[in-house]
Amino acid sequence: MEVVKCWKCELPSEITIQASGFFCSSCFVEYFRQKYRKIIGASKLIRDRDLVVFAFDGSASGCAMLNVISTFQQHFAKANSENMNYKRKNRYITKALHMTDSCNERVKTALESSGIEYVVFSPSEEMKEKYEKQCFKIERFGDETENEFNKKSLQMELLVDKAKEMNAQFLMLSSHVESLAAKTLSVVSLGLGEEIQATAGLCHTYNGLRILKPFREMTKKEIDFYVNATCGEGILPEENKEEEDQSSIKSIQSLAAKFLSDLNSQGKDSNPSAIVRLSNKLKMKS
Amino acid sequence: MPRKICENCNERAACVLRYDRSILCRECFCRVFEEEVHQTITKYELFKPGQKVAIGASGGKDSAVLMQVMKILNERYNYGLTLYLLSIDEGISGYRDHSLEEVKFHSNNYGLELKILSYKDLYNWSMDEIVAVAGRKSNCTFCGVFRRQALDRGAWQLGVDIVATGHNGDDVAETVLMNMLRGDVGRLSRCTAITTADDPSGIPRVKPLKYQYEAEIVKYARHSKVRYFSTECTYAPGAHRGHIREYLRAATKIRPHVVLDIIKAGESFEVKDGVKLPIKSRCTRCDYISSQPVCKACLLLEGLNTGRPLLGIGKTKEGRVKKYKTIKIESGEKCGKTDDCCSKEKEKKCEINDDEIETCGNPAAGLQAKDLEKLSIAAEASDLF
Repeated sequence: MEVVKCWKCELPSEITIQASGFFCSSCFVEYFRQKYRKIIGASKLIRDRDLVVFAFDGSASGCAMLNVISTFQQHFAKANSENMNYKRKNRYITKALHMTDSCNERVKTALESSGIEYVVFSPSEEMKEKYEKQCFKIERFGDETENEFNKKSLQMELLVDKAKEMNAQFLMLSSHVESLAAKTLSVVSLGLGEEIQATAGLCHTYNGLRILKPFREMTKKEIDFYVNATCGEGILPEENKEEEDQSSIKSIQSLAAKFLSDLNSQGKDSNPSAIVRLSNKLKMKS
Repeated sequence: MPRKICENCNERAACVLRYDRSILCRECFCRVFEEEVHQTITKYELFKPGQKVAIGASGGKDSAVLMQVMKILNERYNYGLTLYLLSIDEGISGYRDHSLEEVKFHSNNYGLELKILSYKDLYNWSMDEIVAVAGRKSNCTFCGVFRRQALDRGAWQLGVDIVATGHNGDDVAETVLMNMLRGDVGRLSRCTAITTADDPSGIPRVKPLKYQYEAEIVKYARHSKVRYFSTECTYAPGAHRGHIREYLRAATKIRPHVVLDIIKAGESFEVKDGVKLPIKSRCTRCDYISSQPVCKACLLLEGLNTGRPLLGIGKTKEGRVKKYKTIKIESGEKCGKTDDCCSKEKEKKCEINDDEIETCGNPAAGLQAKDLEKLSIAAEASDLF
């Protein structure tokens, strides 16, 4: 059987990207980084010397984004030290932010090895109580779905508050296309059509801070491949636990994620990117 | 254990559990159901006094319940409407022929005039013949497109002002999710409208049961002793909507309000300015509303009649159905599925070339272009357009 070659070099391809072709490992890593850079650049949101805080959650996509950011930080530092005459002005500063009750060794190693300035913080109970009162919550039926939604809402509130405390202009999240599609589906299932732009859009404003999701066009497959190709073993996140049986699923969020994942695995007519791109075309009725 | 009492009348024994977990007796449930439909009709001003209304009747539970509820409300609240029944015979043997018997029963029972139009008369193709040539993958596309036009034509022939269909809340929620999964912004912005007012014939359609749960429609039919045909369409298994229906059923178990929540979310969307949407124009062949020069129905018919049944469906431009044959693998020959020869495989699939395809036996297949003139169905009905 004929071996498929990388589109850029002649090495055997190791990953196939729909609509973009075949890549070997090193060409794919370069492609991934340039795609991130293109998304940031084309958005024209971040200006020179802006402070961008990246919310690192320890997941595979978080590790991938940490690696990409760290690569570009080194690139900027090298350009500055060599006094190279770059026309590109987009040299923003990135810091990582990790919110946890107890920081584990793997996360610490990942943050330290990235070379990026980082902050680890554990919100106190008083802080959680304070923000629980003011964050956007759903309290109609008190079920697992609402609990999960309210928990995420509180996490976002705490992260935004901490990022504002650090004088950041942007908060960056590492959500990939499948997770955003599942979130969009669950938000619609909860009747929160007005949240679709905030859930799946590239940038939205929350409490005066702009939230960016530059990985909204990256698939889980691409991110997993990138993480395996670039991150060291001590940093790689743990494998996902086994899939839940449908009868044990208690929340709409889990059901939506399982539904989309099953559709994809069966090759049915569904495209997570199509769901995410809807947010670019829809607005709320006035 | 004492029997639970109806939460509405506090007198009779409760026997119906609603989606909002309230429990009602049979009489109160039927009354509450009818009142909810009445509120939908009055809130959205679906009808005006003196109008002629055609109820799209398939014989299934939704249209059977709609017939009964419309009759009751028309008399109870003096809507002043004249009701008709309009049925479409798709030509699905073992399904549509039985369901039409129920429609005829209701027509006699309620004293409503019934009009039946068939695909065979309109398009010279029945669904059974279409599935025989096109396969079972895209049959819902044919059926949906043809039925939409057929309903309009039937409404014109009856001379009615409005067509009422039995689309329920679950149908609307499924449609919202389907359009989201496909990223179809145009349809997403329109699919939750309770009244569609952009038909070329000027006959709008309304969905009085838009906010009713499918499960409650079944309960109403049972408790009001409404006769209906309950078998699923022969060609329904495998349809894309089936997967979404499964999701919705699972979601309703977790959170019963999910159907109404999805409808509410769908109603809150509109398309941003500057987004490119299809432009409404008219079909150059049959003058039906279309965003393309030739409408979907004419395109599908052309495909059927020229031996290219997938014309206008999916990505295959030529519209031909791929056919495969299975041949045995000789010993030592690779099956082609994997790099290494898996000696376990004994057969492999090969595509049949065009010259090897046997004729499907349908006399309409392979018609010349001149025969397409016969298919300008709308031209026959000069009194319709």
